Amino acid sequence: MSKDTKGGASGRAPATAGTKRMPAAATDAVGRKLKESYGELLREPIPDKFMQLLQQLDEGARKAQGSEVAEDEEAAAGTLDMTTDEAAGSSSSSNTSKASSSSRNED
Amino acid sequence: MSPSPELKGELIKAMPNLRAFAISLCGNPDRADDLVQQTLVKAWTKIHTFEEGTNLRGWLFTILRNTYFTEFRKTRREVSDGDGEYSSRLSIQPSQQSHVDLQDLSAALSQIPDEQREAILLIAAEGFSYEEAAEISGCAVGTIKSRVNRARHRLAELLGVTSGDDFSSDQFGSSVLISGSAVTRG
Repeated sequence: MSKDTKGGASGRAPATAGTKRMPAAATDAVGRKLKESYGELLREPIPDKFMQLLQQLDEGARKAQGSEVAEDEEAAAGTLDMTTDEAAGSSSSSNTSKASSSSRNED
Repeated sequence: MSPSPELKGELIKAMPNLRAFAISLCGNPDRADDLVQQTLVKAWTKIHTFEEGTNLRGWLFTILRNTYFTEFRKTRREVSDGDGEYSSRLSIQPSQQSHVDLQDLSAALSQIPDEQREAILLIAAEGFSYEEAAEISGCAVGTIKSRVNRARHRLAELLGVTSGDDFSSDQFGSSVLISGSAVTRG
C-alpha cells in the first residue's frame, strides 16, 4: 500500500453538512485521479491560435489588420471593468437614481 | 503598452494551465478555447495593472474565472452541449489506459456546482494554496475549504469510490462490486 497523500487535511473528518462521510482514502483517490487527468490536459500542445493571438497583440497589429481582435478587445475592456468590480466584492454602487427624478405633475 | 519580454514569457508558460483549467471548468474544449482567448486579450489590455513580481498565474486565473462566471456560465446552459462532447473527445484516446476513468471523472465534474468544480480544480489540480484560491475566487478561505470538501465528497459519490483502491481496480465503474465484499485483497 503506497500512500502518497500530500500534506495534511486528508485525515480530518470533513465538516460538510448533507454529504455522507466518506473515507479519507476515497476522497484522496478522487484528488489523485483529478490531478492525473488534469496532467493529461497540461501536456496537450497549445493551439496555434493562442500563440498567433499573442503575436498579434504583441505587434499591435490589431488596429491595422485584425479587426476581429480589435472588437474582441473592446468587448473585453468593457467587461473587465464589470468583472473586477464583482471580484472586489460586488460593490453595489450602481446607483440607479433615475426613479427619484420623476416629477412631472408639477404644472 | 506591451508586457516586458519576461512577462510575456511567463504568460506563455501559463497557457497550458489556463487551457487545462478552462477545459475542466467549461467541460467543452471549443468554449474553453474562446475563454482562454478572451482571457489573453483581457490580460494583455490590463497588463499595466499587474504588479510585476507578484503571482501572474493567479492573476490570469482570476481573469479567466471572472470571465467564465460572468459570461460563459449562462451560455453554457443555453447551448447545453457541454458534457457529452468533452467526454467523447477524451474517450477517443485509445492509448490511455485509464480512459474510462477519465471519462467518468469529467462527466462527474460537470455534475457538481460550478463553484465547487472551480475550487477543487484550483486546489487539487492546479495546486494553488487555499489562500491563493480564495483570492482568485473572491471569497473567504473557509469557503474554499468547504467547497473543496464538498466537491471531493460529491465526486467520490458520483464515481462510486469508497476506498483509495477503487480507481486502480480495472472493474472501476461497476459500483456493485464496491458495495459487495469482493474487493478484499490478500
